[in-house]
This record gives sequence, structure tokens and C-alpha cells, in this order.
Amino acid sequence: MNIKLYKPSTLNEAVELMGYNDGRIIAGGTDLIIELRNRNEKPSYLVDISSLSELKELRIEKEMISIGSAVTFTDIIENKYIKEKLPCFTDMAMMIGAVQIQNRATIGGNICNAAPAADSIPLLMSLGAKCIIISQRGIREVLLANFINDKGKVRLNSDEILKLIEFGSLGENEGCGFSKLGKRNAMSISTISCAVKIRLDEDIIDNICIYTGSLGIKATKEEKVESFLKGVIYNKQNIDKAADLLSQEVSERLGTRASMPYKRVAVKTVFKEACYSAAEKYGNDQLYMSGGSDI
Amino acid sequence: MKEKICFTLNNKYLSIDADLSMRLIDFLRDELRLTGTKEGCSQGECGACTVIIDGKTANSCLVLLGQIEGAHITTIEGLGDENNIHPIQQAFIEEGAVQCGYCIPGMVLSAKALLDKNCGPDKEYIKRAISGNLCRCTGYKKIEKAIQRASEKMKEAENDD
Amino acid sequence: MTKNLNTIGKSEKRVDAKDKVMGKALYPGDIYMDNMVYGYTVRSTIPCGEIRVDKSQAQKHPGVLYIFTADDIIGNNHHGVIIKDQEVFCKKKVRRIGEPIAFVVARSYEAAKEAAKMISIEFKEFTGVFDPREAMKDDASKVHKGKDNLIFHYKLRDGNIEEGFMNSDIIVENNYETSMVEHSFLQPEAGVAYVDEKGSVNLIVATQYPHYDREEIAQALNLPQESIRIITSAVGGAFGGREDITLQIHLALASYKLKRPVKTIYSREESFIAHSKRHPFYMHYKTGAKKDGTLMAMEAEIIGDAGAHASWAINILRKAGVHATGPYLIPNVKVDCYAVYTNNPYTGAMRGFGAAQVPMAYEQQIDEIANRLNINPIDFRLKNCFRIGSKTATGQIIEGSIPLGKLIKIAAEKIGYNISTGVSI
Ligand code: FES
Ligand code: FES
Repeated sequence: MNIKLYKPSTLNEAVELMGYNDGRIIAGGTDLIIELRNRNEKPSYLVDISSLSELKELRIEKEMISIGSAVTFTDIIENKYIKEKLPCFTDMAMMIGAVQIQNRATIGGNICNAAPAADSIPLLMSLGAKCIIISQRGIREVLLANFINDKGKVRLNSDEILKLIEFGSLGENEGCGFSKLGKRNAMSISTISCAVKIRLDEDIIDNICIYTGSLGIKATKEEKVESFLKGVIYNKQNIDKAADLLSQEVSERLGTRASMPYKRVAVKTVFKEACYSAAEKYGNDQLYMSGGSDI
Repeated sequence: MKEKICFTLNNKYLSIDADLSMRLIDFLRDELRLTGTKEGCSQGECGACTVIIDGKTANSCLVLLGQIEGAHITTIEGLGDENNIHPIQQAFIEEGAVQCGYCIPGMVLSAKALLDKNCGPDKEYIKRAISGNLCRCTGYKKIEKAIQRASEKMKEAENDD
Repeated sequence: MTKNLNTIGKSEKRVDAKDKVMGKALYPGDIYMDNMVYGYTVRSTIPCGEIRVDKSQAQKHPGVLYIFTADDIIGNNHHGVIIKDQEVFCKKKVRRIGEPIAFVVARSYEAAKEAAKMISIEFKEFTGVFDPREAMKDDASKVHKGKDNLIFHYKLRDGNIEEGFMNSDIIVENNYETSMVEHSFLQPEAGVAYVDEKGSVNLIVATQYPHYDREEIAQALNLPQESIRIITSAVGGAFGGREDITLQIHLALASYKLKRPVKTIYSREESFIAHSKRHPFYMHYKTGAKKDGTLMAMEAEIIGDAGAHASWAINILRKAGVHATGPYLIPNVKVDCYAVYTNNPYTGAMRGFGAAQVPMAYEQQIDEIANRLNINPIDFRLKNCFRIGSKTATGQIIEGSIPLGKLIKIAAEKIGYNISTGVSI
């Protein structure tokens, strides 16, 4: 493509390179290469960060999980700890593209492209993830939910690199679930996705965070549904009511769009699935069985 | 804008000067004339361009040449040769898993990456391993069977050693 | 009887399987020749209108060898498997999105694409017609000047349709529509043409019809067929989508004029807009039966959207008509099939060739009648399906094998339905 490609060997070098004008970061390249071929204008140079070891760290500490921006979805899938403690994260990673894409695509790339259908974003937002951003000017921290603006673009200056994302580990009585609806199993772009983080106090919903994806330009926090569920008993009846509320929200949001009549109905099941899988460890099998198929 | 790059391709060490922003598929096909790697969509959707990079499959239409510095690449040409065909390839022939053949190099490589890691995969693993390889002809059943057969062949061969 | 046969009845390995698993089979895109140049097709971006092409600027691009347009066709600018209604290059009118207008040949594919953007095409857009039911009306705009939009009307009459319905206890009437379908063969169109030492034009291409290709190229280039050779490479899937000409004439013409090997490879997107699709059908079905479940009459009107070119529309709508009753014995039948031009993407052969669309209608009719008569749909099908000796609506007596009844029974068993007692387990 006749673009200069730099392969810095340290993060510092990469940061320095991004200090000049009009460079683009390339990590997995699974989105960028398509874009470069389709677009007329070209960046003056590319900085390949895909093999920087500083960005490939996946650190799991007691309270915190941090994932380097160049960590691939396969790295996530193969991580035993994540599979055990945060299975929804493994599930999400396994639903992205297919194996070839998972092997190359990075978590940082998924975030920085900020596609409305990017699967990692609603999940990370529900987990309250923060982005750590580095440039020659220093390091800054921003909540992922604020990192993506209303136009669906990330608030990343041209000299900055997303270094990692971090979020708190799940507490004793917390759970997180992710569900996605696509047209087929592999290689499918989400039609609707939903992530739910829930904290239960006995059978009372102490706290809940819900994000939907693919239903607007960026992942959306479903505040109405959250406030409805906060403080109520976790049971099928309430989840069903919440699903109806969400359905109403979605139909208003999508308005006259052709996809509205379908998404309005489908979102209910996607949401319920995410909810049930979030609360799975509380043994809601029965609840799931009776709730999963009634739309 | 040519620059130096070194990597290993089908067990051969290469050090060459090239445009590092060229896609790996274009380098393989247009420069090296290794045309076994096919292009079907240029978007990461079909898997016809699958190669193995450091043990993992990748769509070579979505990799820039500069990104494979120091890596080990396997293309379909790096599997068997005329007289010494790879058991996966043999199994594809025996099971009748080949029709138009355009998806087959990619399929075989996805199968290889799987079997190198997991010598006795069950059906679900096989399905997942080829989920990024589109085939418009076969309906996948015979391909799945071929991979199963290949895994048996490879296990047998190991036991013989 | 099969005992003495060498191949029949045996599972043989494909002759080309080994080359294919080794990545050695050559598809046209895999061919490289010395001195080779690259072609890129410029296409219509509107479905209906007139064009004025000015290639003078683009011709100045340093990488360009030549830009071919309708003016460069010495022979016949028209081709098509049955009706010659496709232009090698549009001269004045465009009838669909994607119709070829020019073929840019340059030293590299990138240069050809760049130069293509420099061609100035003035489009004067007209309102097209996109629904074949509209297109059939007298006052509809004509897709091809001076030609009726109705390409073909297939009529089938058997028995007495009025009486058939009169003697029916129940009549079910419904509309059905099927959509356009893309073949998506995995290998996008590609080809290489070159002139050999004897002066013959050789074309390596993945095609379903080398003999048609040869004929069409000869006519367009005004050359005897003997000086054209089509070499069919490995074909990366076709499913009917490689029956019509796409890049064949462009490549042959370019190599013949420039005396150099010329190659082109379509991108997936270009492949989508370049070749035919499956005909969308608009079907109106009326079926009558007696209370005891005997089919009495069926009337069907089937309209196929041919898009901008006829391709195999005639044969496909005929086949749809022949298969309109499905494998069911119906004594009184009236079928009318219409193939109609519109400004939609053109449609042609695709697996099933018209027989694939009609089951959606006739099978749902059967289900609905069975349901309304309170007869199990399996029993209903068994009662009415063709057997040896049955006469189809087209008058064919089925003499050979027709294992349908047997298959229905096996399938019923597998889903736990007992035919003799009518009880599902
Ligand atoms: S050509 Fe690379 S995935 Fe289709
Ligand atoms: S054999 Fe034709 S696409 Fe797989």
C-alpha cells in the first residue's frame, strides 16, 4: 500500500513515533486494513504495536484485572483465570468473528474502532472499565463510558496510544453476563448485544448495570431498566417486567427504523439471557428454563 | 519504499526487501507466486486466504507484511509434497471433502492448526476451528469427517513411531 | 448388472482432488504471464438512464495502455445466452446498476483503478421500473427500447379448471414471494487472455460454457471461431452464476488489440454486481380439494423478475411452470408464467433453475389445505403424491422411478408419526 510501517520495539518508541503528525496505530489490523484499502486518503505512516510486550500483558490481581491493548481475543479465550472467574468475557471473545480474527484482533482495536456492534464495549462498560492512555505528555485515565463520544468515535488524540483497560474483579455476590444475537454463529456482527453486571443481597438486587450494543451509535446504559430493578427481588417476574420496559425503550429509541419491530422483541430475550447468565452462580437454572423461550 | 524484513516461510528462512505495508496475501501470491493461498473476499469473512502464523491461523488478507517480522509462516505449499502428502490432505481426498477446491487450502490449514494443538478433537472443536472458513460447495459434513479421519491417521502415525 | 462396470456404483476419488488439497490447482487468478497488464471494468452506477463517456483525461494516466468502450467493438456489441440483450459496453443507455461501460487496461491494477476514476461519465437518469408486476403494464417504461417488457409467457392447461374448482369442497388462495439470491461462489471472477504465436486469442477463465464464450467472443471481435480458444481453468464454484458472460469479451478484446496478456480479477463487491442472481418470484396460487383430501384443481400465476437482461429467464420460467404442481396429482391445472424485464440486477441460472422457488408456494398450499380439512399433512401428501403411472399436468407419464411415497413414509417414521394409526409418538 506504500505506507511507511514502523515497528517500534518498546512502548516508549511507539509513543515517540505517534508524536509526529498523521500516523495511525495498527494492532491486529483486522479492521484497519480493510479501511485503508477502501479509503482514498492514506496516513503518512503506520505504527505497529501488535507485538509490544508491554501492551500484551494480561494482569490479574486480587482486586483488579488489567488487559493490555494489544492482547488478542485468543489470548483472552485461552486465559484460564478469566474463563473461571469471568466466563462472560471468554464467551464474548469466542463470539467475535471466527478463529482467524480472534487470533489477530485486539481488545484495544475493538475499543478504538468503536463500532456500534463492537462486542467488547458493552461488556467492559458494564464492568466499569477504565482506559489508561499514554502519550509523550504523560498518562491519563478515562472511564470507557466517557472514552467513546456520542458520534461513536473515541476521544483519543492523534499522539495518544490506548495502553490498557482495567476493571475491578467481581465481588463475592456479584456476577456478570453477556449475550449476543447475530445472524449466524461464526463471523457474525451483533444485531443486538447486552451485558449485565449484577450484585445480589440475598434475593434482592442490590445493584445492577446494564449496557446494550448495536441499538444506537454507541453502547447504551439502560438507566430506566436499572432503576426499575434496583432494590427489587430477583425473580422471573421482575426480570420479565424489566425486559418489557427495555423493549419499550428500544422501540422509542429506534423510532421509525426498519429494524425496530424486530429488535424491540428480540432485545427481550437477549437481555434475559445476559441477566440469567450474570446471576448464574445463584442457581437460577429453573428461572432460565422458564424464561428463555417465551418471547 | 522497500525495507528489509526477515521471517521463516514454510521452514525456510527469508530475508528480503519489500514494501512492508503490502498485504501478506499479495506478497505470497504476486511476489512469491505461492498461489495456493486464495482470495475470496478481502475482508476476513471467507478464510480462503488462511495461513498459519506462529501456530495460529490468520487471514492473510488482513495482515501486513511488516507485521510478520520474525514469525514462522506456513502456507498450503508448506504442507505435503507430491510424494509425501500430508495426512490431512490425504484425508480430504479420501473423504471426498473437495469440490471446487477454492476453500480447501484454507480449510486444510485451519485443520492443521487445530490438530497440531489438539490431536483428538471432538466435533464441536472441529466445527469451531473451521468456523472462519466458508465453503459454498460441500456443506461441511465431509470436511468435518475428513478432519476427524486425519486426526486418527496422525495419531496412528505417532503410535507407529 | 453393475457388476461389470468399472466406475458406476463405486466411490471414485476426484481426479483433481490432489492438486486442490495441495494448493496446486490453477484458478484464473493464479496465472501470471510475462509482460502482463491489468484490466478494470467501469460500470453503471444508476439503474436506468443515458450516458455520455469521455475517456480523454483518463487515457492520459501514465500507467494506462488503452481504455476500451463501445466504440472499440468491431463486431457485435451484443451478447446473451438466448436473447442478445446484453451489451459488451453500454453505448448510450444503461439498464441496470453494474452494466459495463468501459474497460481500463493499465500496467498495474492500481493504475487501472485510478484511471477509471478519471473517466468522466455523464449520467442522465430516468425513472426505471423495479417491480415486474408494474413492468407488465402497458404504460410501464420500457427497459429495452422498442421491446415489450414481457419476455415470455408460458401457458399450461390440463383438464377443466372451472369444473375442478366447482367440484372442490375447499379452495385455498394465497400470494407468495421469493427473494433474489446471490450465488456467492467462493472464487470471484477472474481471467487471463493472451494472443499466441499463431495469432489466436486464448482465454483462461473459470466458466460454465466455454463453447458459448467462444462464440460470443468471435462475434464481438469479428473473428472466426477457430481463432479463439477458451481454456477452462479450475472453477471456484459457479452454481449457475458463471453461465453468462462477464469478463470474457473484455479480456479477449483487450489482449487482441494490445497483443499482450491481460488479466483481471473481480473483487467480491464487483462480483456481486457483475453476475446474475436467482429470479425473485411473485406467485399467486389457488388450490382446490375435496373433503376427503383429494386434490381437484390448481391455478397458478408466476411472475419472474428477469432484471435488465433475459439470460435464461425463458427456460427458468418454463421450468417453474412445469414444476408448479409439485409432485402431486392434480387433474385440473392452469398455470401462467411470465418472465419480465425490469431495471433490477439481472437474474439467470442458479441451482434449481426455477424449480427451487415454486415449492415454497405449492407446499404451503398443501399444508394449509390439510390443516383446514383437519387431515394430517403427511397423510394428505401420501394420498396425492405421484406414483409410477401417474400423469403430470404436462402430460408426462411417470414410468421410471418415483420413490416419493416411500421417502415420505421413512421421514414420517423418523419423526415418530405412525401412518397406519395416524398417531404421532
Ligand atoms: S480473502 Fe481473506 S478472509 Fe476472505
Ligand atoms: S469446495 Fe468449493 S468452496 Fe469449498
